Amino acid sequence: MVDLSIIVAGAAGQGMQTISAILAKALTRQGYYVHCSHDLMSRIRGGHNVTAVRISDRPVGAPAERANILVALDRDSIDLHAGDMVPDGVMVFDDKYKIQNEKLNLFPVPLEQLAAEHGRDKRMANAVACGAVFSLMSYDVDPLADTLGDIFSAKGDPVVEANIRAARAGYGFAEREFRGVCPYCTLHEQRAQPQRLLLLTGSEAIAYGALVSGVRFLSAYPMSPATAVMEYLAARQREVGGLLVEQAEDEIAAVNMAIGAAVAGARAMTCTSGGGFALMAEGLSLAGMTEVPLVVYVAQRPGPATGFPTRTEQGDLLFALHAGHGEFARAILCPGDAAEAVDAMARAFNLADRYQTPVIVLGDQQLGDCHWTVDTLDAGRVPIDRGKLRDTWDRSQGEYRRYQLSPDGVSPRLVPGKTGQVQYWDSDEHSEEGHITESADVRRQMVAKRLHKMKGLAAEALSPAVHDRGDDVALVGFGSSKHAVREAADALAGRGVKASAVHFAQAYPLHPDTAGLLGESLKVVVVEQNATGQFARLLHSETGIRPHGSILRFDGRPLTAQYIVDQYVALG
Amino acid sequence: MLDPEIYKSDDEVAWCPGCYNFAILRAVKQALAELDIAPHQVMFSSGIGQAPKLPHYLKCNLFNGLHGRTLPVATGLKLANHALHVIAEGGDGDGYAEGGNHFVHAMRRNAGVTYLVHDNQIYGLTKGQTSPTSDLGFVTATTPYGSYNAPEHPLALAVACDCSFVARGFAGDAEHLAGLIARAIAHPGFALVDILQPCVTFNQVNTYQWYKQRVYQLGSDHDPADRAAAFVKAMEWGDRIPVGVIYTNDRPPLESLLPQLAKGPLIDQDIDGGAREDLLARFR
Repeated sequence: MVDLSIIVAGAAGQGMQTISAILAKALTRQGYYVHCSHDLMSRIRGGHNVTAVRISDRPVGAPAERANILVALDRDSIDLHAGDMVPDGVMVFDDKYKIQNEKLNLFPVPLEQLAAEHGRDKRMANAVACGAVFSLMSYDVDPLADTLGDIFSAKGDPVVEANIRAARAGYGFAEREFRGVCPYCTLHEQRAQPQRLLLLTGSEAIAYGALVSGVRFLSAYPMSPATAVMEYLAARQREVGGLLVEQAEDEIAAVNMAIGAAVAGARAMTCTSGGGFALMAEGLSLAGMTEVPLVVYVAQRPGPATGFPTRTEQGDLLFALHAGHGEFARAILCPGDAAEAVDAMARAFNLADRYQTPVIVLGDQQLGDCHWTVDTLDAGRVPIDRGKLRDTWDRSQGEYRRYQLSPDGVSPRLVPGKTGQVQYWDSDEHSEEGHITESADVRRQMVAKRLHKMKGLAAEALSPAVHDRGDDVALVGFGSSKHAVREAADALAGRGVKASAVHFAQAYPLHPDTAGLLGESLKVVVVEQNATGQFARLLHSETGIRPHGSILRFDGRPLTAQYIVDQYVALG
Repeated sequence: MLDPEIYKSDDEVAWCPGCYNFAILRAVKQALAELDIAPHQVMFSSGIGQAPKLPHYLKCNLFNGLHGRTLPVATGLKLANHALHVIAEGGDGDGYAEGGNHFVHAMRRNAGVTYLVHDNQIYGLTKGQTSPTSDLGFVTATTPYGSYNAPEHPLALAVACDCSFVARGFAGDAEHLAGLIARAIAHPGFALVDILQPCVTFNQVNTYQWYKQRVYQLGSDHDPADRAAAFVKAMEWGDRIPVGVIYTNDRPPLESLLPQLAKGPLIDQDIDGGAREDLLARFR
């Protein structure tokens, strides 16, 4: 079994994200599953950045607590991260720093000197380091060179060639100086069968999922960590055809523009983080009242207010559940990795169209910014279903009424302008025709109609995914904690605890069998990234299950299996 | 020209008797009829107030949304289906207070949306509070000692934002107003018509007589393409108030700048399947 973690640390601008992206892509192409998280373990303010690349021969979706290889691009990184290493870990650093450390295997490489000689720019030290790491793991240099070519292709041949020369220089140096010495030099012998794996960030998965679900319109205001979704779609709107991305003046405009586009008949979405979502609450309520199929991707980050803009948290679950004044139907999906993110978007657009109500896809910085390896992305797995949307109208049914009462609470919906019929959508309480009313009878009918949709939404809610390792305890989580919780359950087995991991990719409504499923467990412990146990409260209010304990993390850092195991043991 | 009667709606009207909204409603019907726009070919986006009820009293498509949010909804409607005539309608509170930010950016964006603002310098639906266009010292229930805030000059703001069509009409002259609305709808980019409207119930200062004594029609000596002259006319307020087309330019509408829309409305297009495969390949 291969399970190796490489951390790359340095000052902002030294290209840590580039190294990790190159390593992640090159190793994915070697057939490994990779999980790559950014800014992990950053401990000092300003300038210091870290990325971590975890490599395994089986699917992996959470960072490791300790690193096997540290690539330190500056002096601070050596001191800051030497303690984050496994015993006998490997440290690659510039040989201009004179280091002594008996606990680690030290591999000094003249990073900047080789970069200057071979890349004609000492900033290419990151490419030199990539070459050295590949050599230490005894991989061939050619696939690395190919990956560099692909990643830098947009920057032109001179940049590509300089980077490849720098990487080959680093590779050659390490091969000459350290051949066979590195503890990870036999890794390539355990290499999995190369398969055609895919590597993408969670934000790319959300955007790609929207795209293959037929999204036509995205309006948004930039906000980390959701901006990458907007940028992915903006960059591709002309090449795919039939897609339009508009940067709105604020999140209020963003949600209202998306509502306008959805009313016109386009699949429309917006994306934001907690603060922007707060501004959208009014629009969410509007979509609920006017029965507009609206998809909102909310990428959580630690709040309140500005919080930790570039870090992770699951602190907006109950906000997403209650956002918007008044009572209306909604669903909240919370994908646990890139593959689930694609599915979540497909489901979100279908649910929104079929129930004509807002659907929230709740992600977070960890889901969105991390690179994930997936086996495949089958775009057509969830067929597009637009529900009761039509562009024709049979006049024998009489005049069209936007809010015609129906047993399932969902009225026929027409594309405006296509049928000769007119339609009135109204944010006031309204008649079936869509005109303003003060009638108590109509009010009762319309409230019941809108809330009736919850029945259908609940009936087709996603059931939780159970990673069954026994019934001593169920470790329950939602969203991006999926893989860390699974891994923790596996690790607890090694300590004699039979723990199953239960992952919810839909937080609301919960699947009707949830109570039955968890009621059978001896013990329920909810793992979540907030300070107040929001999912535990949701679980209790929806199912009556009172969890036996909570494992919480709210320091902005991603969950690891080790963290969960340690906290579980501490629960006693 | 169509018969204005085809825009008749069955909805019961909830305006005060004698309200000048009735005159604006007549003008809107006449403008649509003149332009041969059938009820199903036009979609209104309206907010909250007395003015935004107007499209309920018209046979047309309508999204009656939230206070101040008419323009973002209208923009979304237009970009998703630019074959529709999209008209945003609201009052001075809706557009210039609650929706002030959207107003500025809609003018920058220049999507092909017609914006009709019923400007009566008072809040009518909520029974008489100060508005962004209320004059200094205007006494209302919320400003019992008179408004301290300098009034907004929406037309000057529009000229400053290089809005591509800027006009002012008077609800006391529905014929002239209908002509302005028709020109605004026919204009390819964003078109603003600020409509001076006496409020017979709550505004006892800016009455029909008050406007009637001040309003005059711009003549052929005013060149709407002259931005500096337009500024002067947009700022003119007091003893004399100009109505007519104050400013126009030939900025291309947003839709014409988007190649995605060259083949037709967004809602009629499909994502290219080949491009989808290519995007997947880039993750390898």
